[in-house]
Amino acid sequence: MQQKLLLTRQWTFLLLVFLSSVLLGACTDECTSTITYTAYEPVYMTKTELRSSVQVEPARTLQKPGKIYAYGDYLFINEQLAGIHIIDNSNPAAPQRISFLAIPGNVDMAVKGNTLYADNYIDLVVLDITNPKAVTLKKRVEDVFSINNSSTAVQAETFIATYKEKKVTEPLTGSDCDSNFPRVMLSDGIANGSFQSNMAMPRSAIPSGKGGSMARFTITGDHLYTVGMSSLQLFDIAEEANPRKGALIQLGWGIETIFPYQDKLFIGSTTGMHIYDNSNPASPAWMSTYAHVRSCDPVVVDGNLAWVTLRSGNACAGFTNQLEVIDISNPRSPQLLKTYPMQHPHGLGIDGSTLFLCEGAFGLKVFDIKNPLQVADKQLMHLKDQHSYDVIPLGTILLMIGEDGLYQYDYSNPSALKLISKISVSPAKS
Amino acid sequence: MKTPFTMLLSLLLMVSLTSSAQNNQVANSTFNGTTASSYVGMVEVGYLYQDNKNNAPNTADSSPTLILFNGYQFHRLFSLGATVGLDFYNQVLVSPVALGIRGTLLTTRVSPTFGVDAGYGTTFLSDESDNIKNKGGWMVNPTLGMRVLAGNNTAFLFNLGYKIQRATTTEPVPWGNNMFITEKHSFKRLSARLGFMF
Repeated sequence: MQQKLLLTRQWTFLLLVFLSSVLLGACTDECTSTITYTAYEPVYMTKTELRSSVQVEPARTLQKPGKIYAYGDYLFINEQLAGIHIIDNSNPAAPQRISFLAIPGNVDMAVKGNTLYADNYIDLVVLDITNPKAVTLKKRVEDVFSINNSSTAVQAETFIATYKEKKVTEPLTGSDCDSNFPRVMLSDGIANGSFQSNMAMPRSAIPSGKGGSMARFTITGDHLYTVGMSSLQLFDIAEEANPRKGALIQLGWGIETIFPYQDKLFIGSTTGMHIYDNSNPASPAWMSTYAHVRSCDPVVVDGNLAWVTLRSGNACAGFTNQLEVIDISNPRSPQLLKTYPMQHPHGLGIDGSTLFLCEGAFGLKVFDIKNPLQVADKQLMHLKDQHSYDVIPLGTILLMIGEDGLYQYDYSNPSALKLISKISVSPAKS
Repeated sequence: MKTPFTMLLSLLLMVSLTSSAQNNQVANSTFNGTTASSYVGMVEVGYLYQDNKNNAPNTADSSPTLILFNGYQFHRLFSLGATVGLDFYNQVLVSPVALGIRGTLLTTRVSPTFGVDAGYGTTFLSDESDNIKNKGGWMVNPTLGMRVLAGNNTAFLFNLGYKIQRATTTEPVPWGNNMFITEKHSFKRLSARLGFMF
């Protein structure tokens, strides 16, 4: 019995020793690592394709509305990068969609008389809207806009229309697995690896932010101003149907809005507000720049005051949310009068002594601005639970665009807005 | 991924319930096989060893491990139960939840034993920064060992085994925007544990 027990013990012991030696040989952690990143692939479009792209199509639902333009009894609503919705608003209580003007790459528009100017990727198209039910293309000014941060060569057959986002996952070679990041940085896997060359090129060419290639249009007198990311392109539109390309003025980076007022141009950028003397519209001259912290900022000017909203957001990399009142009675040296804290201000509109301010997801606020130093105390109303980007006051009707639709309010009593109608927006499923 | 985990949890619950119910009835059981069936519990601590042939810098050659087996002994050669544990790998803390089988070969005081745990290793206890995302994976751990009786209802255990554990860690690259490095680990370790059986 004793013998047997000893034997068992020995056998067990031997077995365990044998096992451990065999097993340890197979015991090495395995690890494979992959890197995932977002790449941007350029989507090319031929110019032939572009030049036959403008068409009148049946009315469609609003998906990603941009700028709104009120023209008589009609509304023109930009569908970002796709075209323009034409809406019959003769009865604001029941607006009717008439048609959709397909203008690929369209971001902004401007109207003078019966002529509508719109950008069609790299071209400027001129449309006759005398009869909004039958819009006709009158002229195309070719190769005038540079989009996607690259100037387009006139002779080139194709151009980069957009960038397509693509998620790429590829193996990370080298001994990077189970390593700390500083090691990864030094190792060959990344420094000379294949993904570096793939990455660097498209990454530097990405338009910064979603509206990287956006143009901004505005008209004063006989001139059409189009603002790109960093420059101002002029067009002489003395002959409405035949715009002539004018001067190109470099403005610096991050231009967002342009607001003409009297003989001046107020240009909002991510870093401040530029004031240009526009007494000679063919060549605006720089007067001053009111610099502020980096953020997004629409500008509205009324009398001697400029109203600027600053907001935080990824695209603009800012951290402030406020409304600034700037005295511009001396345009060479604008002075900050007062700052009001806000929640997330976007567009604003002024009619007489009423200021409408869109607070994005926080709704719409209405202020009495008879005394610009006491605006905060004179909040007439706050329309909550209502997303809003931008407003246009049209005498008694306020057009307000938000994430889920275009709303029309009667503001004959500014402290009690009355909803007249809504054109709903149904975002594209992507 | 969710379903096997839930299944395992419910199994664990079921087994522990039956075992505890049984526990009251069986008073005089031993692990030498004279009593046919009873509750059996084991707690084991030890290390998971590897031979780091690739000289991977951020990995440990030995990682502490702790497991707890709760089961029901149907026969000396066959106990069925659930195993939960903690495996402290350098990269991630894995908490396996597994179905376990245990057996004792002989009725003598010292007897060879065997065991298999198979299940899923979760990472829900792993506490890293919010940027790091961990995902567990399946786990298999066959073992062979020795059992030494210490009393009527208790015994000491020693066992060696092989443990494979899959896990995935995803971490953003600090200098890249929206860039992630995903590491798929396959931990292949020699498990060596000392334990107590009750």
